[in-house]
Amino acid sequence: MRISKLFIILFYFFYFIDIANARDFLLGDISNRNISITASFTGAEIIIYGAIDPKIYNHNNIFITVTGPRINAKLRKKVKSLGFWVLERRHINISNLPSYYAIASNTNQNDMAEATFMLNEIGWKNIKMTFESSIDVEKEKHIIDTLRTLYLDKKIYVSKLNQVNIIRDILFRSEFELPATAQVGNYEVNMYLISKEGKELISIWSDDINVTKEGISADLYDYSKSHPFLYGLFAAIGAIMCGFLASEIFRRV
Amino acid sequence: MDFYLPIAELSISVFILVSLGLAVGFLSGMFGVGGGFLMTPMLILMGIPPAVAVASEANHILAASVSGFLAHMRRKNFDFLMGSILLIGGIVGSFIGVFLLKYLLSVGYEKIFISIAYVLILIIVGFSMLKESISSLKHISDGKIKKLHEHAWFHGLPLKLKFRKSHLYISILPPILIGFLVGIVSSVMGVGGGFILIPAMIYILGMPTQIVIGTSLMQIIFVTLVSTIMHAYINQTVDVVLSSLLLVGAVVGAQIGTRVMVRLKAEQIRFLFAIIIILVAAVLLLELLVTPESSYILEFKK
Repeated sequence: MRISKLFIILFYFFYFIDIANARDFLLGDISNRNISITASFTGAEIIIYGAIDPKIYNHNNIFITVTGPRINAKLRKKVKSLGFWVLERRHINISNLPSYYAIASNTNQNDMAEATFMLNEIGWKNIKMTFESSIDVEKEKHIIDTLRTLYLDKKIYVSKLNQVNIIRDILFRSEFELPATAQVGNYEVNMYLISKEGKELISIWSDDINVTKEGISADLYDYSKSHPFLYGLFAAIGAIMCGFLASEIFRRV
Repeated sequence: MDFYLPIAELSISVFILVSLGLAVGFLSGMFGVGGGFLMTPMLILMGIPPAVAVASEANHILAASVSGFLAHMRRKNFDFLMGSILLIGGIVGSFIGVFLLKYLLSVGYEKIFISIAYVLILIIVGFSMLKESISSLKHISDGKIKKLHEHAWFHGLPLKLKFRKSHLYISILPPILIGFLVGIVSSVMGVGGGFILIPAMIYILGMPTQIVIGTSLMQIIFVTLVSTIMHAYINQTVDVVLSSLLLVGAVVGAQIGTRVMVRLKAEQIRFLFAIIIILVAAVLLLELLVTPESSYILEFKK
């Protein structure tokens, strides 16, 4: 891990400069700001480094969140009808849903009902998403819980509460896995220092990760959208030619 | 080794996809069925979005059926005239099926009734085919040869044509009607229809089993060709990386399937086919009866 050593040295360097200026700070850096999805993409690891002034740290709570690009989704339920399992025809439309959400902290604070958490969307329950109008509060709670389970299964929700160690009250880091199903777009990275009782936001640091498709997978994706008919035609011709080829090869065997 | 699928937006082991393609290609070459019944649930299980699974599979089955069809064609195991007539009925039927489905949904019929009806048809067809093939196999071992079909009244309807390959001289009305009904079932159920078409060609039209398989592949080529282009054009859900990996295995599998098929007796083919139909019906029935792991399905919209 030579890179991480480099970061540690850099942080110490900045730390002592800042001590000279006597300024409070919360600083971070990301291992990989640009993630490209290529033909061999199987997911990526995001490492987020942080450094904090021990004076302001003072054993308060640190939260790191990664929020993926917002998308619209459709939630459908399977119901039993006449003893058979079928998909319900009605579905729930959800908009503004983050396609990925990760959270890490040095505490295990589960009750994040304070305004600070809600305002900054820290914690699964505080994510702002919009439901179609006809849903009551109880149902909404149930759906948010359901989404959490589905997201955990798909590994697009990562929770690392109580898993961040603050080394010497200064340095910390956290790692998140981004699965191969990651959506392209902008991933917001935020670090917060919040007072122990959860009322005050002491310091914040933000940055972005950009996930893009590259190489042949990007070209194919773009072509399928820009020339859908030709794309289909080429796909069909390709399949027919492969069938011919196999038949010719086998004739000679 | 894993490969990223650009439309499905996830990565999957190449080995798994090639072997799946091989298995489905084998069935396609041997029985003249598309293999969607096996592939769709498998791909969805791997996490591929259902719409992408269905569309990419149409493209992959196209390759497998071309491969299988050419192998049957070299052995002259197909009836072009009969295939074309069935196809005409099929095209009309599938257009009407689309509207029928729309109507059924609009008047409040749940798709569940259609699914149950389809499973019931498969069970009835599967078991009667099983019974017939077993009794034929017994007759063969007794040294007797049984005539497969009796001349029914509808064979003698007007517009009679000579189907040389099928050794038939019958009216074109029954094949058109069969094609039409299979077309409706295909578009309402979203399946290829091979499971109904093949038994109908054997038992209702009285075609020889070996000829039926090549003729069925002819249908599948047409259906999958049209649906590949339509899915790509309307929904943009054809993943060519996915279908390419599947079809590498499939075109080879289809050649092997054809070679195995020509070594079997017609009764043995019908026996194996009956077992497959019963398995498919069982799988569909289980899907409807077994409590799902998660009762919710989440789809991202683009």
